Amino acid sequence: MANEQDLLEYAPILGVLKKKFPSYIERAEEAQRLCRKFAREVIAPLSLEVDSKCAIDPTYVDWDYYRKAMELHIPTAFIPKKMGGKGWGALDLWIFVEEGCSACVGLTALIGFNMFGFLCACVEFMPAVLLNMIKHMIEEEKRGNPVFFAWAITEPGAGTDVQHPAAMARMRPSIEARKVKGGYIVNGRKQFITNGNLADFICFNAPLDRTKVLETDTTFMIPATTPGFSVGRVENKCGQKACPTAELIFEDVFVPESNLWSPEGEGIRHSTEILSTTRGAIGMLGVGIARGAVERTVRFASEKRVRGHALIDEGWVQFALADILMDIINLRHAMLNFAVAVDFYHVMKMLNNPLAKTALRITPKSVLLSDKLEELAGMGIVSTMVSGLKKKMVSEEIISNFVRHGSALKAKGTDLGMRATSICADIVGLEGMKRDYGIEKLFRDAKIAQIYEGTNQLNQIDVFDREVGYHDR
Amino acid sequence: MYSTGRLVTMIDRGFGEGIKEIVEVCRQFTRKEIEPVALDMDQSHDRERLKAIWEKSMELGIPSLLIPEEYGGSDQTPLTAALVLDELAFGCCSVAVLFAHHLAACYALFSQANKVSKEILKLLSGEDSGKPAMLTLSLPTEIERENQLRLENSQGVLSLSGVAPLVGCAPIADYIVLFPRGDYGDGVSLVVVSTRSAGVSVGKAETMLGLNAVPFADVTFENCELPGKELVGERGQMNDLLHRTLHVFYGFCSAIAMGATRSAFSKALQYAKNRYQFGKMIIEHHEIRRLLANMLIKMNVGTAGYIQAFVGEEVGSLATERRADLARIFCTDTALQSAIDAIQIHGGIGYMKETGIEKIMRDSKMLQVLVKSNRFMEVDVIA
Repeated sequence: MANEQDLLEYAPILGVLKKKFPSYIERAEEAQRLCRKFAREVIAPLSLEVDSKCAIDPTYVDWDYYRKAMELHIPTAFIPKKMGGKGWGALDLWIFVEEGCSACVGLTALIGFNMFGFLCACVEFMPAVLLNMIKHMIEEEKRGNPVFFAWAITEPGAGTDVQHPAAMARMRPSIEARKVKGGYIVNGRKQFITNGNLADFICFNAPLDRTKVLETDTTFMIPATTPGFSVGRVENKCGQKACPTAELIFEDVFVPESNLWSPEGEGIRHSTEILSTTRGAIGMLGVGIARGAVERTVRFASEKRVRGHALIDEGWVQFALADILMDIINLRHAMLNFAVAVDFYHVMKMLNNPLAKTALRITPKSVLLSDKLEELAGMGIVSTMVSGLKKKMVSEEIISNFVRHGSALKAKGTDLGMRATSICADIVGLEGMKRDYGIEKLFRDAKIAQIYEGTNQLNQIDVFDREVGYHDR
Repeated sequence: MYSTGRLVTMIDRGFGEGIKEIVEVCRQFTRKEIEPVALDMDQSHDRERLKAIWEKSMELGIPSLLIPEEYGGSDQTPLTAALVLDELAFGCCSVAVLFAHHLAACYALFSQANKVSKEILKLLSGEDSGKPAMLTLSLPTEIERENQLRLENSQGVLSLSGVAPLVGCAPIADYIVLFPRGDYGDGVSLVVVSTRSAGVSVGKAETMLGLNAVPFADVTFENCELPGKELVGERGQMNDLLHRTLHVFYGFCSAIAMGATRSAFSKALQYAKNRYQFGKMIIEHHEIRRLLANMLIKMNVGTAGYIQAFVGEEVGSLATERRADLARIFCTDTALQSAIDAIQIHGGIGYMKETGIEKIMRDSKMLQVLVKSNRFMEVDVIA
């Protein structure tokens, strides 16, 4: 079974890479061992219990679970080693997503989607903001306090529109950030925001002018304590219940200029850049769901007997499962390939580039996490220089290419999740639809992945536009 | 026309005013009594509400649709019953599944009415009380178990022992219709037992993926003695009846699936007309139109398909068994895909409880696996 295979059995090509970058692959192998153990011993046993508690109260969060993850430093794993994290890159995160989602998508997403905050900051690569964020997370983790970030782009009237320039140009937003002295006043709503009710910090997009959204859309960040900000309804969902989804309300929220995260009018560029990496991870989530469904189905079909033999000895069962397994194997290659590319060509390469690596190596830990460095990094010239370097290293062409590949993986991975859970449900039949087998939960969980991070239809549009060129539709 | 949830095929075929009238009355019943409580019943698993709907349905005569006139019923055909279930499912699949169990059980028993004892018939049809009893049925599933249900004969006394697994509505039904095997060869027998008989215990309702308002529970028989009246006809002689009942039930599943599809379709169509995205209403987008068109195509073919399963030599009687099997596979697959696509058309809001579409997705998945799953059936439809 797939859950017995190690990373190099999944993707032998990584063995070739290991010869050149041994520490990179060893870190990923270590991540796989850790995540697999965590998924089996912590996530899987909690999965059904948390799901039922959240069905009664959608705001329920299993904090014991989150603390266990913090003890293993999983929520801060992406922070460089020297600064207190595990130095995970995309490859390690993708592995976490597959292993975690095969046990429970909701509990995995509770941690995984929290990494959006870091990504939002990485994308602009403002050193002071990043350093401040890292310091805060590490310090709070030591105290046993979780720090949550939410990334808010969807609006009540617009989900797809906020993720595509041509759609954004014609959208009718509810939210607007009016420029005032020293900052902006924000009014409006955001909807279906993952971890929105838990967030300590919210990264969101809003146009400066409602009638020129594409030209003026901008990314901001606020602490959840900001006056005028409040959480609306926490949604009662079909699945992925362990990870809450909330409505965010902005009423005359003042955002100082220093909390501007993208330059004015670059909101869509900021979103696109994030989506160009995260869509790949959502594709992996679909693969994880499919794997979880197959594992549970094989267990069920090996135990139950029909027509004088085990259910798994039925030919139709084997062919149906083999079909799903083929897609898992094929897509996993593509997902891991994409993750390696993110590490070597996208934002992650900033942390891996020789300059940053040397800086991290020679700077004492005490200085790295001190206010002095943050102050230095916050100086206009240093900030502009580093941000500029990042833009040069991660060009528009690279991002466009990643959107193309990431969208293809997102749609196919999540379609697989839906199809695999549905077929597995057919195999286990009515008896297998009992809650305890966990297959009905995976079926419920799978559907939303076809919708978030851009509906799969929007992903089709993104692939077409980048393969063939933009045509009016 | 489509969006109002009418059965186009039925009107075209001209089944006569009588049927149309019954279906129309059930349509109004669905709007008034079922739709307003469907979401609540799904969430709260509230049996009292389901029972209340059952009680009210008696005014319309839905429970006695398949009971012959001489026992106070309206003596309708299984086709009429299927059309009624289609209408009920538009409001809530769970409610329709409750009636599907009851009506299929009625079909089995009353087709053997001359062999059922008069006392039991009176109780079932409610001739004295004016209220027909709620029946359910347990159709044998493929999964083997150690404590398989068996009809045994010990020194002239018949008794049932073993488990009837996951019987729909068992916790609320008055009688269960069973097809047990026994120590008399290959054939199955037909037995009707009160759920309150000594030796019968109904387990706790399982939490399942969907059809939440219908409690599915194991029914355990421990030396449940049958003083003689519960056995219908000869022992081991009911294989044909079992097959016919199974096909009626599959036909009913198909009808329910089409009602669910119409509901998903009408919700998605309505939403697509009102949702703006990419500079226009989403109904203007070809991909959305394609998804909606596929629902419409399959809905029409599926409706014709299940009607055909009930059109034998005499209109409304059961046709060859294959047609019901094929219809069940096609119609329930269609219902699931339509629900999945209807959620997709809605985007995030479709995944939330409030629109009721995610409920259709969960219910449709259950319809695909009732008794035997579609993928399992596929390898057996070829003779």
